[in-house]
Amino acid sequence: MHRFGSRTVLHAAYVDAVAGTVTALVGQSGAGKTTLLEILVGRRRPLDGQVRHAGVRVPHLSRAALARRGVVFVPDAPWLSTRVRVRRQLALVARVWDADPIAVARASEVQAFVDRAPPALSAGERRLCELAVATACRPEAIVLDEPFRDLDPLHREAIGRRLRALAGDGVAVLFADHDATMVAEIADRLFAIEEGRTRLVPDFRNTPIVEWYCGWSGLDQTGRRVDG
Amino acid sequence: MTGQRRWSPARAISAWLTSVLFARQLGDFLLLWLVLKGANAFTAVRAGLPPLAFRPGAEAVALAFECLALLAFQRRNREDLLLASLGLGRPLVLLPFALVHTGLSLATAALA
Repeated sequence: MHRFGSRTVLHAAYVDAVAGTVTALVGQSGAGKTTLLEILVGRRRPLDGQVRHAGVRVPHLSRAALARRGVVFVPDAPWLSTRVRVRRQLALVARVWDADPIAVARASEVQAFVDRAPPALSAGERRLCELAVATACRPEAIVLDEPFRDLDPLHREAIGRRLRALAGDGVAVLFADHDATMVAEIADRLFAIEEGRTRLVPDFRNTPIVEWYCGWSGLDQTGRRVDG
Repeated sequence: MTGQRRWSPARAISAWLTSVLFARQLGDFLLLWLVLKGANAFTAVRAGLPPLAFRPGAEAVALAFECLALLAFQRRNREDLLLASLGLGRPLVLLPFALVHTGLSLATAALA
């Protein structure tokens, strides 16, 4: 459970990430997706509830402590240094985690622009570079907030390919996004969050998208009834 | 990417300390140290004390300000998440700068 002031944003929310699978979290704006992810990665403390890693309850951890445990968070806001070229940042992270920066750059499809600093990248290039640096941490689990937001179709496809490849390498991928096309294309599992409560949508590819968002209440965020 | 994933503090710190990222951050910190050293010297002169002497209380206060400003710079330059992804928490991130501050202040006091 979590509150902002008197407003309870999460009631009975649960989400998990499983090794080798891509899990998506969808919900209307303000449904609590980002808050739930931030609790999961230690950026917020829940008022009630717990976070478990490999079945073991973990206390509130800093981002550094989570990285040491193999959990990397990729927020929707830019997070690479603005004054160092991407190649150097990638090499630094790869050196710490014993990854091959060239192989990571190739797999992440960023070789063409790693010699630029992040402010000189487009949104899609930056997102790919951030994913490359996160990958160089050799994570066991990667949590992404809106990885497809504001991207052109080519970069969306590239990010989607990369997330699928990471899952293929055994990484637990969990992301929250509004892009129903990409969710349907790459996700293995889908959690929907509505009014602070989550549910697993079993056969989401054969479920109308409005039901992902309004499966319980049948209402959109303005309170208007929607047809499933 | 083969082998087991293992984090070593020595490896993480040495990679960071030898990186361009740290060089940039050190540049920021040296500027901060100069500004705070100047402010300390100014107040010491007004109080009739030797301006560049090493006074632990004043140095601790200056270091606290420098660390807070440095953390704000790192956040502004979006380097806090990058450092966290190296497994480096704040105490480890600030430690080298505390050593630089102490070393520079002692050296200045000895030379003055």
